[in-house]
Amino acid sequence: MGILQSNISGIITGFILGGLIGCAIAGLGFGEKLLGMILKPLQLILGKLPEITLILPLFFHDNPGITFIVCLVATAGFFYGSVYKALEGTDSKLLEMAHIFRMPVDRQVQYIFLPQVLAELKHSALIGVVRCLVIGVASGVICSLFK
Amino acid sequence: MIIEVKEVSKSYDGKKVLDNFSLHIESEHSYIITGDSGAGKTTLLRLILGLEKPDEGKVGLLGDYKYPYIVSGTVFQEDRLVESLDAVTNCTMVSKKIFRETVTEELLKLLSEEDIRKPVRDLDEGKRRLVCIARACCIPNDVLIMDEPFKGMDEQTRQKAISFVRDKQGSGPLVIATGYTEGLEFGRIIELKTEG
Repeated sequence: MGILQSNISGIITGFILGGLIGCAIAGLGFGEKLLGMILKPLQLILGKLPEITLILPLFFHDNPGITFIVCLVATAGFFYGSVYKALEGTDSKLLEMAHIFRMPVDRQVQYIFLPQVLAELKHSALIGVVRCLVIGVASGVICSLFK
Repeated sequence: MIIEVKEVSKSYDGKKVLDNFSLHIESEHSYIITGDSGAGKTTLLRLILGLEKPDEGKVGLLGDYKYPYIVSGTVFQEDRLVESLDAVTNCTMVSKKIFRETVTEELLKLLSEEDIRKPVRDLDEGKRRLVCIARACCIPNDVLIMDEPFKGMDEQTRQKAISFVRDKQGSGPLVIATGYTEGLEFGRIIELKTEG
């Protein structure tokens, strides 16, 4: 409980910022195919195994912000994977319709992509919170072992 | 404006769907593309819209035209509506040049007040097609291209929809692909034959 209390601010801020960064990069990666290809290995690893970030406290246990960094990277990777998968699953026929009608990009985001992403986030947000909490506490435990 | 379809051929998995087909689509004219299922009606429309490239031949614009692509009011073979949204939003979301009041007025010529306010997933097939037709006709366009626009409609609704489309056609060309040409005698009927 003490470890949780001492690391809670890092966990919360890491989660919030990581979530925002993950969603933003997913959008960019989907829009810019080259970026998406470059980030694909990261998406595959962090999206499926965000716990891999626990290797960081082993090397940086002296850094007071390490829990925040671990939570940020793990959450960003997790939400990047979820949001990117949601975007890839967008109905291609709707996108074709949007192309033919020259639908403005902001309208496409609002009416086609955002509902898709929000549906996925509703499903994965709780998993993301739990994973971040577990990883944050684990990071705190690892750091305390070196003290 | 003239859309030139010149000696186009298209095959899928070795099966020829269109073979050396040519057509000039001109303003103020209507074209009714008909034929059996698999004759190439949808393929032809997709080539005209630039969604696919022909294996042979070409599709292009002749004369002075301000855009490098066709600005088309399109009804697809599938509805391609956002199911959770109502008819008015489905029409207005595709363009910033059309407004809810105008679209509402047009939709009320085809559907009831109650129907245009509910999510389109709650409408039957014929009413959903009416929404698609209204969406195609309401946006500023230089050509109307419609693939089976009247499917799922009873005869009375079909006649109402045909009148609406003719009224909205303006000076541009109208191209309709359909297996049933009743009521479409105002246009030039072009029959595609199935290969083999």
